[in-house]
Amino acid sequence: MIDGLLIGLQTVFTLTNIVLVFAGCAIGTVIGMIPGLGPITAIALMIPVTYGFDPASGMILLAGVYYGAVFGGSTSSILINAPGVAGTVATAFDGYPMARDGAPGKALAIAAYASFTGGTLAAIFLVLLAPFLADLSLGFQSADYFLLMVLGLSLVSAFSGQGEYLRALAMTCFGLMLSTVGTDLSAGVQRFTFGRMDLIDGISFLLLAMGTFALAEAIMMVLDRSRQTKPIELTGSSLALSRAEVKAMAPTVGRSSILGFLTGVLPGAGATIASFLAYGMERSLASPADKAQFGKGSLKGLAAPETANNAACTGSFVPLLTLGIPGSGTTAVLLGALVAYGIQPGPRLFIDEPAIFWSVIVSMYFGNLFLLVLNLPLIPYIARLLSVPRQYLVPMIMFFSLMGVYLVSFNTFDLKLMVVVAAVAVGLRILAFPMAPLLLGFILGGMLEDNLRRAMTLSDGSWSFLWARPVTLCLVAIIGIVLLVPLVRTAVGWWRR
Amino acid sequence: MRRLLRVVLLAWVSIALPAGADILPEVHFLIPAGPGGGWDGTARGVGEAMTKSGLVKNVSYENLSGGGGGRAIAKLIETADRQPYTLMVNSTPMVVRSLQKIFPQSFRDLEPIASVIADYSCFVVKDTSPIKSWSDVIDAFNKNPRSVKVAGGSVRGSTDHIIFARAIEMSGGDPFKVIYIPYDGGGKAMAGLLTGETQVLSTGLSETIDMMRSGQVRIIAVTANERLPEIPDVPTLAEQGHPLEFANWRGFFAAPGLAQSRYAAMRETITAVLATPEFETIRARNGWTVLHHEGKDFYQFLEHQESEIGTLMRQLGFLRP
Amino acid sequence: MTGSRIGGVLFLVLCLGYGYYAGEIQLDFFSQQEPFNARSMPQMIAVAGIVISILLIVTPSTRTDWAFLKDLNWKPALLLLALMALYGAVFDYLGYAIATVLFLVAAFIVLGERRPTRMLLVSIPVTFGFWGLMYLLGISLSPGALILDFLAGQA
Repeated sequence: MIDGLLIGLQTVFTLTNIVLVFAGCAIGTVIGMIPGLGPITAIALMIPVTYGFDPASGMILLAGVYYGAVFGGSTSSILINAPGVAGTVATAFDGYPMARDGAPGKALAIAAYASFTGGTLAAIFLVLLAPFLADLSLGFQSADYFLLMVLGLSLVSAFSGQGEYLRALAMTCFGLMLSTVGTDLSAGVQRFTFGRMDLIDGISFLLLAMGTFALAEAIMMVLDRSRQTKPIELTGSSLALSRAEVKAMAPTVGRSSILGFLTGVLPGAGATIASFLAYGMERSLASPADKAQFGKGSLKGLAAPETANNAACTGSFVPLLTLGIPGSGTTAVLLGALVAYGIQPGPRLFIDEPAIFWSVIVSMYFGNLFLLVLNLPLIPYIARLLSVPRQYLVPMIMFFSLMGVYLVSFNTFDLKLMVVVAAVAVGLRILAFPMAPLLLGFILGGMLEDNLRRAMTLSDGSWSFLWARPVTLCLVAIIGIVLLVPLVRTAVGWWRR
Repeated sequence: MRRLLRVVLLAWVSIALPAGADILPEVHFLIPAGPGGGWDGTARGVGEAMTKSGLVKNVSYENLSGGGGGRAIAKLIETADRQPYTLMVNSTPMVVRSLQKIFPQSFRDLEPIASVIADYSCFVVKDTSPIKSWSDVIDAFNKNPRSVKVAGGSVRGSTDHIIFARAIEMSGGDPFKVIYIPYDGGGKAMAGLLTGETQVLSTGLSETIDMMRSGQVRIIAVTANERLPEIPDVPTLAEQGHPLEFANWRGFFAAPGLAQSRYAAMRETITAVLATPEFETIRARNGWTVLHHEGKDFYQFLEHQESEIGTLMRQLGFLRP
Repeated sequence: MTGSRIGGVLFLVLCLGYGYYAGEIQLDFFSQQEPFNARSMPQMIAVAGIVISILLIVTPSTRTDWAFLKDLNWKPALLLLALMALYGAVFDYLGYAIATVLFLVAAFIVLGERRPTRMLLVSIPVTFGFWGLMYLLGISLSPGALILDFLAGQA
């Protein structure tokens, strides 16, 4: 393995490759910052450029673009509450409040550090564990995915503040409802489309996230007179973190890296689910004092999803490289690039083409490192975006959010739908209903139903799949614990009283 | 002022005036999906060959997703007079979706220009599977249809499902007993096969060749009439006694109602680009198989495919008769 | 009325409507025999939603003081929502460039900006800068029916 790493280092450590990884990170960051253009588009657009290079250099450039785009997405999530990529929606939950309350530089820096650590730790896991992980990703069947989604839903209590549990449940339910709009993935029938062609493909997650977060927040900025006139004061201009802050975040980053990586390894899950799970897990594990901070600019609440989504991106290389299975849209595009270079991902890649295998992994380290080096000095300038006067900032946020959704579908119906979503979201925010559970329900709903139906058909219509295999049984047990612990805690509390 | 404005606008949208040559002076590709998918790849690949070979100077792309491709079709028809150089990319699902009435139009409402590439269907098993040939599938299926669950990358009633059911029917099995497990995309269907939750996978050949070469899966039959040169060891379904040929084509369509000479130029352009070495490079890079039908020939090919798929879908109850 | 109760009532109406339409989903031949088909999940969600909304209505919740509603700056907020909807409605006709410049300028005006040069100095570079970036990336933004018709008429 050490030999392999050395081969990889040798391949990557040329001047051309270092320039390429730099260029990749820079281009990726810029594209990723534009709402609506995520890693998939960024990579798809850059692939033709890479045909001139040798495969290792091509992959290095693309790895840079990939990480850059994910990081760029976090930037717009944090600064204007406009998550450009599904994987960075959870970043906005705490990143935006932190930026709004005067510390955009710090929030961006935390995102950069967390991404770097998550990506690097995950790359280490990848090196150490890749052969075993291939088996893990094939050990997960539809029934297990179904339970993973149920586990995600059971975290809903974590997505709600004190006393808003029922409202959070209602919003989750609303999210589940919206996820059923469009062509049903199993039988192909249309549901809740009311004969409209525009709804056949369903509502996009990005549209919902942009409508409920970016647009609704822009409208709220205008509604609230006090916020309209007062520009944001950039108090926390320094990017440095105190020792206590680092200490507080370290366990979060560690846990989120592992969770994110494992979720990324599963071909049916991906970075978005990973970031939501990590956020939920941290919020459930936090002490009561910490818990109150979540949703209001908690350091942990920002670090967790940022770490997890980058770790998941790296994790998704496991099924891609060792099995040749693309787990996400992004890895599907990368797979296309690999095949075009004449490389065959699969169990033999490791043996037949060690130089490629290891240089891809080494380029991940480099991609992460260069991203940090490139972005840290730029953060103060990027953060200054928020000091733009309100009467200019709000229309620009609206324009970028609308374009972000338009660039995905090129359908103006989506623009109108998004305005409706934003109006409803503003109403719900006035009634004090939380928005995050809506997105949780939506993102999990489709996969929950899909996998449940597959599991049911595979087991010929019985629920026996719940205990048929050890993996499934384990997940059932974990869900049981997650649901029962709060109940037991409450009961014990009553007993003592 | 008006003239100046016009010059500026002309430059901006880069619309050149008709040149009247046999090859189109410019091509505008309409892609009924977002960037990054199969349709997008085909259009951008053919476009790349056009510009790199110097055949066509100006190539532009427009992505327009929605309605399973229906929105792009509707737009092409509605704005036909503004689409003199537009080629819309499409493929077999267009035939299926118009049969299902997902959109009201069919290829008859457009001008079919040419098909360019094809992807044959194939049936795949895991390398450790006891199933070695199509007759093993039939034996197992006849004993217990529930023991041969078949995965596919799209909804029930899509071509992945229909082709498998048709093959079962041709082999004397009951197509209604086929248990089809839909996945969200070919990649996840492949993962489903490898985890062992399904026994057979029905999918496109191009998505499978690399998995086969890496030794994780075996292709037990491909739906071509003769063995394919890239994979001479893989048997066809025909040589196993069931002459079922099916190819998922990808091709180009133009707006209705344009001058016949324009359509001729479009066909000529496609024919010319397919002959360039630049296209050959792109074809090899993507592992495409050329399937070139043009004009009337393409139209008949579509009619034939439509009636074949339509019959199957009606038999299987996916279409109301 | 508390915020929770109002939300509960609205949500109940939504769930009832959703549940009704869930029953209208067409089922094909195969689905009718299945234990879990295209209707099952929506129906389960509808039932869960109805239970939750009833709980929202009947459980005690903290009183909301609605006085803050009067302090909100309703007029520009509603105007901006209308502007965005209008932007979506005219986008295909006017095309990206004209629609965007108009939208930005109108939104600046709604938010109290009155200096015309400044508005144009911001909106035009933003519009064309974004367009240029997309052009470099090979993504075309629609020039709009208006301009295309104008050109077709001239040619």
